[in-house]
This record gives sequence, structure tokens and C-alpha cells, in this order.
Amino acid sequence: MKISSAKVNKLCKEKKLNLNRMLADAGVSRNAYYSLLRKESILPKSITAIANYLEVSPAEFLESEHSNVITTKKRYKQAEDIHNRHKWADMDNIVHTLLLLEEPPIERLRRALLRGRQFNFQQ
Amino acid sequence: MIVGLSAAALQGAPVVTQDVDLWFEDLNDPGIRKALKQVNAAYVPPTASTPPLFAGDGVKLFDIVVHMHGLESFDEEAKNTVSVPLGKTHIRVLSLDRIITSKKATGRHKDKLVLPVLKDTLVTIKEHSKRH
Repeated sequence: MKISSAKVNKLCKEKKLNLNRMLADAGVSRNAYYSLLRKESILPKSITAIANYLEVSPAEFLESEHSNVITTKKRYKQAEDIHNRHKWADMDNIVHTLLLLEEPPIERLRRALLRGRQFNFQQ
Repeated sequence: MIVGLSAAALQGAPVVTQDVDLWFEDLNDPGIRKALKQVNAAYVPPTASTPPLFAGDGVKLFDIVVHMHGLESFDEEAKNTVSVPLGKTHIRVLSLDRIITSKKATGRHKDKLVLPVLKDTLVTIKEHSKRH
């Protein structure tokens, strides 16, 4: 299995991302990316060996991460980046703010009111 | 405009609140009466012992704000608002940095407790907007 630069470029275009920006955000250097592009197979030899032995494509037995897992990891990475630049800020607050920013404003308000009315800290 | 913690929540702050604080330019604005009528509610003018209030099930969540600690006049602060989409309309919401200024000025214990969360939210939003 190898990387298709055409597919990567297409995905970047769909997400309105510049390739360099995408690589920077993903934490992959340009050198590493172009080095991967030149490889005939990006999979470890052991994976290729198993696939060859079973006479199937490696895709037959490799599982990709669930999109929710990818999103969660990406959000956490962004929170860490913010925390690294602002050490005084609380990591939980950053993560929860990023989570809420993914919601429409009305949903953010609904959550704040639901929680505020469910738990009366004055009692 | 919406002020207080509801305004902060609308902008992404992970906070809890009991009500939605509304700061009006003019409480005699006929638009307020018109809106109240639509939800079968009423305006209760202030007395010597009570602040201005809304009455009715449809407005239970809303509080009227007549003064914001540490802030300028309504007209001045109207320049420090952000437009937030709510359903089919957009509503003016006091910006997070001005909410922080107001919470600092009240000196109330509950406001002091929420300040760190609001400051963390402000920095997160600023960093987030750089990337998007």
C-alpha cells in the first residue's frame, strides 16, 4: 500500500485546506511526507508478509480508527497546544470549550441552563 | 443584549447558569411588550422593593438587568457585542472579555469562582479562531 498524493490533494481541497497547512497541523514535516510518497509500500514488512501469505490485501485485516476517535484525539491535541502556550489555563476548561465550540450556540446555552437548573449549588 | 453567564455559554464557555440575563437599552421599548404578549407574559415595572421583572411561564428563564457592574453605558457596551445566530435570527451578546470585566467588578464570591473558567474560555476561543 502506498500513499496517493492525488487523493491527499483531493481531500485537502474538499476540506479547503492548503497541503502545507494540513501537514503542519497534523505534525508531519514536508520531508517526511514526500519521503512517504516515494515509498512503494508504507506498511511494515511484517504486515506485507502476512498479507502475502494470506493472499489478501492488507486492507482486509487492518482496521482504521473510528472517526469519533480521530476527532477526539485531534481536539485533545489542539487543547494541548493551547495549554502549552498558556500554561495557566486549565486543560479541562480548554477541552470543554473546544467541545462546546463544535455545537451550535443554542445547544451551548441549552446545556448551560440544563446543568444550572438540575444542580442548585446554593442548597 | 444577552449578558452574564448565558452570554458566556453562547460563546462556548463551559459554565452553568439558572437564567438568561437581558440588558435592554430602553425598558419602555414597545417591542418588549409585543414579544411578551406573544408568549402570554407581562412586564412588571419596578417598585420601591422590587426590580423590573417579567411574569409568566414563557419568560421564567429570563431576568432583566438594569445595571452592569464595571461596564460603560448600554450604548457604549453595544459596541462590545458579538452577533450570535439563534434559530432564524441573530442576537447581540456581550463579548466574553467584557463579561469578565463585569464579573471582576461585582466582587461577588460566585463571580470570582467562575472567572478562571471564563479566562480559560477566552484564550481557547482566541486560539481556536486563529486556526479556523
